[in-house]
Amino acid sequence: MKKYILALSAVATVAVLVACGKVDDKYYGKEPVDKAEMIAPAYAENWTANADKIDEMLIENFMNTTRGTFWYTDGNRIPGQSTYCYWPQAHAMDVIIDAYLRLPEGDERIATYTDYMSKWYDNKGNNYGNPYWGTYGFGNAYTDDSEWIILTLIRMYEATGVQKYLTAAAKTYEETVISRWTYDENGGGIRWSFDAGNSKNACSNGPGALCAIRLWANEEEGATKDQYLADAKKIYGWLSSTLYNPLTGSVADNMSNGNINGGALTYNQGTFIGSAHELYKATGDSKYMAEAARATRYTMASLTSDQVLKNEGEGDNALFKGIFVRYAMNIWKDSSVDGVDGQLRKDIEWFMIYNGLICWQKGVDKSEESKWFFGGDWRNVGSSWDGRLNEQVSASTMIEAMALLMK
Amino acid sequence: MKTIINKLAVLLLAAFAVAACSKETEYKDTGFSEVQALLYPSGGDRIELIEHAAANTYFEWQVSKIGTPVYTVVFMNAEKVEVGRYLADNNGKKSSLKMLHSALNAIAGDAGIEPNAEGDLYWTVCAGLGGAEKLSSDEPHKLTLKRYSSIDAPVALYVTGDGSEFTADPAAAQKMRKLSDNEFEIYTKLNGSFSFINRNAEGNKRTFGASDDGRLTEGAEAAGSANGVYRVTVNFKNGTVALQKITDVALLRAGMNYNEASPLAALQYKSNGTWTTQGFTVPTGGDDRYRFRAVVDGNYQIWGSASGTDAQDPGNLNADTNPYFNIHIHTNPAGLGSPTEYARVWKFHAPLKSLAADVIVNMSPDVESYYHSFDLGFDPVATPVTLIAPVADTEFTLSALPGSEEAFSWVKLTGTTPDVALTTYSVVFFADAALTTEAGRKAANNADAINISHADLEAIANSAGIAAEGQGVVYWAVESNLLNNKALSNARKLTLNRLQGIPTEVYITGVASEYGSSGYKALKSLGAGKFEIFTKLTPGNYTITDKNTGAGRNFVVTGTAIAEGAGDNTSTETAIYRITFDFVAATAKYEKITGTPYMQIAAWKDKKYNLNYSGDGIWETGEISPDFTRESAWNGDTRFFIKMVIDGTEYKLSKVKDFGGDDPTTTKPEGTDDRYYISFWNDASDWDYHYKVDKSYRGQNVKKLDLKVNLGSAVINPYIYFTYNL
Repeated sequence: MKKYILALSAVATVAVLVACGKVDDKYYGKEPVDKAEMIAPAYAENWTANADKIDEMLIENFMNTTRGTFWYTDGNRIPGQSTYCYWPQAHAMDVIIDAYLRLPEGDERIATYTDYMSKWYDNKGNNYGNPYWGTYGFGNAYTDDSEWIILTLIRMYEATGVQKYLTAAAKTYEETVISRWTYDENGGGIRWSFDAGNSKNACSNGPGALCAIRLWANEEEGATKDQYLADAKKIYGWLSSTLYNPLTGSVADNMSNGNINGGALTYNQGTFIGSAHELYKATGDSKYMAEAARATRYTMASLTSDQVLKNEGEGDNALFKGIFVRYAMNIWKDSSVDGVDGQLRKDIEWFMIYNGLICWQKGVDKSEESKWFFGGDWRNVGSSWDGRLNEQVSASTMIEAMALLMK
Repeated sequence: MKTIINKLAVLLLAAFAVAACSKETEYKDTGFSEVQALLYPSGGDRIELIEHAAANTYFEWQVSKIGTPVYTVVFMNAEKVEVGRYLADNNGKKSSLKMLHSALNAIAGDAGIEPNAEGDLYWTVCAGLGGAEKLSSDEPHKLTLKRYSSIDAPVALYVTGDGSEFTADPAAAQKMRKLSDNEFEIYTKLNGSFSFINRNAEGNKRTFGASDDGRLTEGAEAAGSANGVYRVTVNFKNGTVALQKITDVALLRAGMNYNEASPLAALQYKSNGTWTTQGFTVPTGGDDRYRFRAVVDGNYQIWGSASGTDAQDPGNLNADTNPYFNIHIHTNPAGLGSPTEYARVWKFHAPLKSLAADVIVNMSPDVESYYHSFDLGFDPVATPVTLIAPVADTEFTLSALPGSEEAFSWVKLTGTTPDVALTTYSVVFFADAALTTEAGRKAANNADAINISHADLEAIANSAGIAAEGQGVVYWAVESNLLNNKALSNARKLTLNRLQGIPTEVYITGVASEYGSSGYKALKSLGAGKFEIFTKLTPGNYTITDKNTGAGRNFVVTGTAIAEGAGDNTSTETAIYRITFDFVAATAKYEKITGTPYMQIAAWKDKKYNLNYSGDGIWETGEISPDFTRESAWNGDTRFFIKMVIDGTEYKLSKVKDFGGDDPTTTKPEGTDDRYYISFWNDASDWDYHYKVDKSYRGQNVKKLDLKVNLGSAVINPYIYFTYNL
């Protein structure tokens, strides 16, 4: 995807500097606020009902139900903005899959959502014509666009068992992801885009490693499976040795011409911890989990405003924090993590419940006439008329997570 | 049995050693304990080292249970022999170490692992304090390192192999372009197996290849495989071989975007980094600027001019020497200035238009700079011609008469081939017989003759150093020019008498003039080639000439122009004129003086006294008694005007706006009293621009006087003059 993160990175840098300047003032004694009290109101909510409502509004306002794909603006108010709306399709469909996976047996929405996935697949997830279309039509000049879609195809396969989803994911990975690994002045890495100069980005390598390890998990024993694991290790190895800072847990945005550029963003943190966690599950090597933990804690401590995942901007940026939520939640779901870091899941749990609570309580107008739009800052209520898919999907991911956390 | 005993001995020794170690810990209170657990990288980890200055791996271990020792990470080879140790972060106080891959690569080398190969090391942590040291009690972690493939770069690199354009014969291998000490480049076609060698001769050589994922390999059997036309870049520092597939090289007209589907022409790959059009004709109409595009690895590039300014005609087709034709690769076509469709263009050399030409893009490593060229199918060699006219040793006297010119001619080439049609000719003049100092030239295009005006020859004579109005010699020849390749004919000598200049004296004579057919009257020189006369013309001919002898140059007026010419001018009526000639601007002005000039009393608009033309630019009246009685309150007024209508405009003749002061009481000899000098004023006011008469005439209307207005050409300062008859 094309994104505009430079200004944001600059802001982030300033924010870090300011934070550093305050270290001496830090309060080391008893926490001034009782953390349990902060999240207590969450227990009074029915989060399954809340998530159902959010899903209903996502579909009502943003889904073209005849195609199973999503509009960029509510009701396709600005049609031109939906033409190149590709990578958000993955994350919007992921919310539908989240819902699908928790629906009780016999719920009629199971059939409906199954149908959405099928249509979404048939319409190539709204991919637009490009020279990198590939065998199944899910490829894109932007490697990360291919990758997000692949990850969603794999989840669709895991949810429904429809083989073609996985087949398309594997082929698209072969055609537009691993083929874009090159050795160059950046030491290696998956190239971000063929519409832009050579740049190795966190957003093409984190999801790239995730694609490989998720395909590995769904592959029969054999050379192909082994290759997926080798790919995942190679891609993650490059990312963790270069853009990841082991001293802080932050992941820089990209490397081009051999130079590291850009600050940490929640989605890059998310895919880094996601791929590290999956590699930990695959290999049992706790090194990966230790790195995942460090990157998770960095995000929760530094990429927040008032302990709420911060507003990273409009457009593509609005999708970022939902991605962090998704992969942090995967760690929360995995009890094997406790063997490496006994505290991490508890930290994530509190953080997510607090974020979900603020998002629900403050981020959306729940009055009768409301269209239920979320904005980029969950501490403030979203627009009453200007609905944006990316903002909506990040928040929907958060609320779906709450349905799991509070089950 | 013996073996078992030996093994037992080893085990016993080991047990003893461990016991000794733990005892030491017990006895000596050094204030710190060893590291009990190594953490990351986990035992058995494998790291593919990344060749980048920032690439790193984080080593971590548990802190010592007792004390705050300084930690060092100890690296050992596969035989567990130490090969190096590194102080932990924070001067050894942290239980971690950020190791750069460059350092790990070096350690791996010290441990005997070859570049691009992998091998095992071990690492552990040593805790130390006050000279005492304790190795970690944890089992050293095995670490498999894959070294990166940086290979020492050779001085030169060649492409060879069955799949290359250059066969597998080393002697035929093609040398690559050296971009830097570590980097080589070639544009070439590959079709199967290829490799790189550092010598193109038999005997010892290094051989390099490329792995499928783009890494540089070395070894006798090293090779790569590819199918297509590529830009191949071998980077020894990065250990990479980049194969960028090149498709769709095309000639674009200015105005076409880089991704134009219908370019002017497509270029086919020929050989050794060259592409060419086939059956292309340089267009005659439309935008005559152009550039190339190529698709490299799926991305559009503009192969265009290095210059960001608009293209000019190159003036020649010397593509191999004129840097104009060099190709500059622009990898971001959409970002090439605005409008991007016109950025980085060249212009077709004008003579090429309508010609069939192969346009060749040359990205061969053999050329100094990548460039493009035009192959017309013939060698552009010019042929000298034979001169016809004027013959040698001709003399021309240059004249300013209109139409004065001389014909130059020669025998031009004949035939129907493009080189004949493309050859242009110029007559070239030289100041010297050695033909080294060019004095001027006239282009004749593709003709076999040209008329050169005397005015041009005058300029050429001037350039050749012949003095003004003097005589001198030039040499002339004809230059043939074929696409800016030139040949000169034999030269001929030519004597030139230069034009006479601007006249310094001008006379009027002839029956229609005041001065008759034998009288000459000089015009008044106003300077800078301007002359003036107030005179009368009668019907008939008159002559303007620059000498009063009859041997001068004559000048003829045509409308408002005057030029040297034979013959006379003709007047068709009798009239008095102010005639002005400007020989610099070559203009003539005839302003008719109509009506009768007169004297008018300023105080009486109806008191007028006519002045009669008496010839030679003089108007006079006599024995008049002007009436100066008006305004008796102050005893009359002596102000009066002289008025004359020239070319339809009535002028007052006076020296200044206000005569000023009292009435004059003195007189001076004729023509010497500057108060009575004449200027012409186009003024309609009642009182301004007047003269005054002598004080004794104030309030009088019977006193007589004579008045003369002298605008004669011999008078330096025209004046009016009174004779007071009292």
